[in-house]
Amino acid sequence: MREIDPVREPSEALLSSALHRLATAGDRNAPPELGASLMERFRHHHRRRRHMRLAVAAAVAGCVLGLAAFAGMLRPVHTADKKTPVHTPEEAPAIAPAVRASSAPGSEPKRHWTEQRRTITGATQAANDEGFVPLPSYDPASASSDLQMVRVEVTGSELRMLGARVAGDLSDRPVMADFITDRDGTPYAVRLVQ
Amino acid sequence: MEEIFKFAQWIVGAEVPGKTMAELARDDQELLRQLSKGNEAAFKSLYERYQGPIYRFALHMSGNSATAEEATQEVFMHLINNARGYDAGKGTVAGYLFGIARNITRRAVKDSRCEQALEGEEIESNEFAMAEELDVLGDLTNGELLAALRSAVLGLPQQYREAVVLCDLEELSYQQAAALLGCSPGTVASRLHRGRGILKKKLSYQKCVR
Repeated sequence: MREIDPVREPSEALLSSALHRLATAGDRNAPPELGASLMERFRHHHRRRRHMRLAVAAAVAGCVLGLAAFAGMLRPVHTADKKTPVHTPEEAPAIAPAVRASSAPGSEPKRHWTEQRRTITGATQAANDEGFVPLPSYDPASASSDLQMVRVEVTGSELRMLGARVAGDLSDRPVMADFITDRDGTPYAVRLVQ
Repeated sequence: MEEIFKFAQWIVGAEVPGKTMAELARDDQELLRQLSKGNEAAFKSLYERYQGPIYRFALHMSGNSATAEEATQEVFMHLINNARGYDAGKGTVAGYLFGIARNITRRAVKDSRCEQALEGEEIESNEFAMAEELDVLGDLTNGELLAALRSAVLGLPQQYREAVVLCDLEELSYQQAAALLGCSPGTVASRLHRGRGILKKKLSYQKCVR
């Protein structure tokens, strides 16, 4: 800004002085209520954004879990397909024999179960002793310690879809079975009740 | 250097004394980054730093406290909703906020009256011939004359009014005003000179200037 000489330019000096007075005459700040209102809007906006982010994260997690569950359901089918030549209804041991075999020392299911014993919880160990057969969806690395047992009536074909070895004559017959499942419903092991 | 301190103090009030413009600009950018993440303290700091200058700018530009309030609110609402809209490559945070305030104020003024600036343009055409004759400014100590001055400022064309508001009312240097208005300091000086000439002319019509 250039300096104004009040002697040589009195009108300029007086105008500057008057403008200065005008600048200091009015309100210097926005009303405090405006600040409070904006602060509240800021909080509201970011609260909503946080909720949106949580909802999106939950949706994504749900999709991932759903896909994982779906993949888990598909995996036994593929396994069964691959092993079809070995486990034809005539040759493959039915689930009932498998349950029986699990109590026999040295049998294949028992060995499989025993290999995983290092990581499985006390609950599943106890379950193994009671004749449960592990399902392909059982993953020792990700299995939680919070397991539950549920008894449901299923058909042999449904059991086969879960990856259990089921004799062909059981395909359409409803059978009672005990499942050991995770809290999210993932089945880890099964045994036939009847 | 003194001007830089003055500018910093104009913007931040007395809360962050001794900060240079560059420090202030970096500080503003960091505050804006924190604000976009939802940091309430950052928003509060930016608000306290800029609400006064923006409010006064809008008030002097519009002559209406409701418009000034609305402009201040809109500027900060824009920050809340679109904090990532600021591009550091295009200027300072202060310039960004004033740009928003200018647009809002222009729109509000345009909506509220039918271009009083036209009247100013007419005066502008022969301002220099007459301004030379207006060597004596009357006593502007009473409220009536201040009201006349306020009215004269409001009657200035937009770009001259901006220069007068920033340089004369907010006492910024040409460089500082130029940074906020996005033009050269020479342009600001020229607009200010013409604006002041129009002001004296208007006041002379009202017998404020002899």
